[in-house]
Amino acid sequence: MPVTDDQVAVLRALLADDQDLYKELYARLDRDRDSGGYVAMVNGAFARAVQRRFGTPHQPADVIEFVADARSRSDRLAQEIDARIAERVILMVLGEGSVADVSKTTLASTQLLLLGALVADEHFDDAGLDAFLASSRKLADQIMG
Amino acid sequence: MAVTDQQVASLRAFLTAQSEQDAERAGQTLRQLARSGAAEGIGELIYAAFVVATRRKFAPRWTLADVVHYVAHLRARNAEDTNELDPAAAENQLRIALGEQIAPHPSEEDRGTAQFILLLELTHDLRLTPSELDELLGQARTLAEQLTRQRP
Repeated sequence: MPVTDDQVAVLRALLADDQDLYKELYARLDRDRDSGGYVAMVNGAFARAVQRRFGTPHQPADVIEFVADARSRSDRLAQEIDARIAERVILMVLGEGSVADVSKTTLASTQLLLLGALVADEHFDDAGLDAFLASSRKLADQIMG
Repeated sequence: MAVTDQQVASLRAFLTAQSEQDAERAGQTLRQLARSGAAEGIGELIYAAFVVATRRKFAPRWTLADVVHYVAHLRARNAEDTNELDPAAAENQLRIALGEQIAPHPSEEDRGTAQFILLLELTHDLRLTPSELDELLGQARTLAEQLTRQRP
């Protein structure tokens, strides 16, 4: 089942840092019907954002420094993002290693927090964010099969 | 029990080793001291030197972001061997050394390893002259002796 417009809209509100709209749209999602598509959308956007940021080739030091930069943006982020797990989640997208031993909850929260930092660094305008989300949606649809 | 001159000299030799061979030799001496009858005080001396070096590096004002960036900088510098320095242990030990009241984390072994690596990196980064290193070790010795007296 493909990702829906509603699922994309929730992530768009979050990445545009419109917290009120995000809360409103997120509350409207149906937990059973929408969770798979929304998670796929987050995964797709995270993978796209990591590919845009690091591409190939990349240096391990770049990943370490980006994670430190993301964590240093607030004390909350420093506490909530585990440096090693975050680095491994990024490296997995780049085709290195595995996160099979990391819980789904930790994986999801780490991806979402890093995605926020990656997108913030892109300084997208509205059209840029829409294009990024459209590209992410294609990947998410592939994930959904 | 007071920290001995031999313990201070061994730590100094380790921190100023110019080659991997010298560092290995000095490290062996430190480990032997830690295992021998002269063990008392060496752990406190290493910890105290780490605390003094940390405060020199970050004082008088620091933020959590400074600590996060510093640990990442060290790990990025040795990126081929990122497993060696546990970032959680390193950040935790630096914050405690800087006076923050937080619970020690994660394992004692990881924290000890982090202290040792950080001490080596901090003294390297501080680019101390021989007399400045002596002064740092002198302060560390005083602090270590206070710590050994406080030990139950």
